Amino acid sequence: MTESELIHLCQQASPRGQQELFDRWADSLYRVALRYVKTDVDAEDIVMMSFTKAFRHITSFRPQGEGSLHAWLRKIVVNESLGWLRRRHNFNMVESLDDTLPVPDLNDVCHLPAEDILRLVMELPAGYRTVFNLHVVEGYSHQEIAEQLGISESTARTQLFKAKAQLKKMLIREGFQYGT
Amino acid sequence: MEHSEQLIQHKLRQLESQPVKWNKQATWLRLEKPRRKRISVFAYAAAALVIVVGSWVLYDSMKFNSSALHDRIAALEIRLAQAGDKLILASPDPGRMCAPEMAVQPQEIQRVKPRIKPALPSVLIADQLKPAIDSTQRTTVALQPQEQPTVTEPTAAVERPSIPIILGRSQGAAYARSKRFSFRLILSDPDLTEQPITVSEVDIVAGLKQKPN
Repeated sequence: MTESELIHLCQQASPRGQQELFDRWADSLYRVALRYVKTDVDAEDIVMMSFTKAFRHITSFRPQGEGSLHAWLRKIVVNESLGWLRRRHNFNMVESLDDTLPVPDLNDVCHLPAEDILRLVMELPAGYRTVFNLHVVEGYSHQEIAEQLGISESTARTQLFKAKAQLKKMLIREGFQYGT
Repeated sequence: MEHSEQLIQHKLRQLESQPVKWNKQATWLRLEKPRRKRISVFAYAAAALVIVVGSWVLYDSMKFNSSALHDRIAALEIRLAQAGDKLILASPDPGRMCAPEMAVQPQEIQRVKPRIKPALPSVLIADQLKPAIDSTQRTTVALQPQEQPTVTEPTAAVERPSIPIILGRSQGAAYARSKRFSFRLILSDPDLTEQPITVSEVDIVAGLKQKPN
């Protein structure tokens, strides 16, 4: 079944189409949710709520080529995850950062296997992890992150800086020394 | 975005496409549950609607049948009124249960007529009973000379209660077919109580009997 056929079926509220959509994308969306909320149960809740929302609003979805459906679903999951985090975590902390400090590079981290990178990211505190996920994995700008989390842009920058610094620290602690 | 960041993004996104063990089926069932609940609510609503509509149809049908029955009864009464020249309709209400109460046969009229047995005349007592009593007394005295003779006074006959004849529907229908007999509709409980036939009623029936067709 092609993506356009799948979209058409789901727009007609076909149970077969909805199950097909779930079977096709639920695993990857579960992984996305898990990167934000850490626990299995919460990630399952977010996936369920995201699909409920997707089934309800898919009539208003306008496909823009292959892959647009997955991108749309992914955005729903990210928004649901952020909503979940906002209810449990205070992102609105004012943190100042000395602009003279050098920006930590992730060269050491990017050479790690994907599973190790993920494990390190999951060990970050919730605020750092969220900003890192949004900026590095989702590709959001600092302005978008600030809007999404309801924080200032400088706070978003500070969080990302600290996330990178923390990752580097963890990498050194665990004995990974790439490029040296 | 830096090159290192792009590399991390690519690796993590590739990892997302890998299969993962999680409660996928349970999540799908949870996702389906509200929809099933909605379906069951719709099913209950549909069942309730069917019951309401069915009840309404049944009520309407019964109402129609009732009115049709009323019409038939009214038509039947009209036919009976036209058929019987002496038909007495006590009430135009067709809903009431009606049946011919009584039809009197000619021989019954004869049986009912001598209702009160008259007392024996004094002449008869003097002429016939007295010698008989005297002879009896003589015989008795001859047998029992100590006893005084007993004179028995003749007593008037006791009025016997008349037995009204109440006919059923089948018999009533048979009489209704005959123009020679009239009947009246039983309308209330007092009509069903047994009452002795009066002489005037017997005369009316006798008069009907003698009326030529």
